[in-house]
Amino acid sequence: MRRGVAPAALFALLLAPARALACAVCLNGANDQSRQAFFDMTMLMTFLPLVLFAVGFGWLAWKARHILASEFEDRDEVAAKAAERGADPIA
Amino acid sequence: MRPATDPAVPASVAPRRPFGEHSALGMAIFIFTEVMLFAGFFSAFVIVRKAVPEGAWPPPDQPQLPFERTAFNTLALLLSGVALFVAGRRFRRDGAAAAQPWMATAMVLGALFVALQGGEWVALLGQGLTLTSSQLGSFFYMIIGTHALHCLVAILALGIAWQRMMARKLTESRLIAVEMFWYFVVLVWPALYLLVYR
Repeated sequence: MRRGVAPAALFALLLAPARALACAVCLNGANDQSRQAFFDMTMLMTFLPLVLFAVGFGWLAWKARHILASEFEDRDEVAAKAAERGADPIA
Repeated sequence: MRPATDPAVPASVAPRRPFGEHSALGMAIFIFTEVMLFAGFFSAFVIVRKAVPEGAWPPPDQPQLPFERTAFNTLALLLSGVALFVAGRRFRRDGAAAAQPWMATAMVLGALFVALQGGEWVALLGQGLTLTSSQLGSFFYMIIGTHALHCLVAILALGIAWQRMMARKLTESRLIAVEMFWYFVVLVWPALYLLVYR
């Protein structure tokens, strides 16, 4: 029974953070401007890493497509040259 | 997989190309963490700044930050970024000898920026702005100081790259990594400047 008290209390604090004064910066003596700034900066810190990951993976995907495409071209060239010589390209 | 030097492999088969420059990828990951570090500073400063009533910033008895004078420092740093960009292009197109003067220019301009910032700090300390004198002082020395530390490390990296370039030992991948770090230091500065000094 007691084991559930702490999680329940934490959950209650999540529902009413102002009561807990959980964040001295965003809730203690805050005005509308600072509340808006807190919201904006939360958005920034949430989405900035996602945007950076997206850019990074996009770059890697572009690079991979670029390299793999030219790799297949190389193999086709080898096969074509081998075919010209009448040789087996696999051998 | 047989190596490309295997005599059984036809000479027309080119060795497998690397997926990318490892040093550039490593630097990109490092810069990712750096962007988040400065975003944290940015976020904390904006929230604290907005909590202060209009007209109460800078705090009483604290000096106004020299916005106009620092514009010159900013220009020096931006020009050093341009000089490094030209150095990189010259290095790839014409070789190390053509890139050396531009690389040296980038270093000198970077060092000039740090020296001017140092002079500014001395003046501000004399006017009573210290790390513990106010929230402005704490944020100023923490944010601008962290950037200055990055500048010093980047100038050191540029110096090592320049030395290797002189000895004709600098590889393109190493240059790319150093360039990426310097561009980060240069490009993050205008955001910090407009945020903290204004």
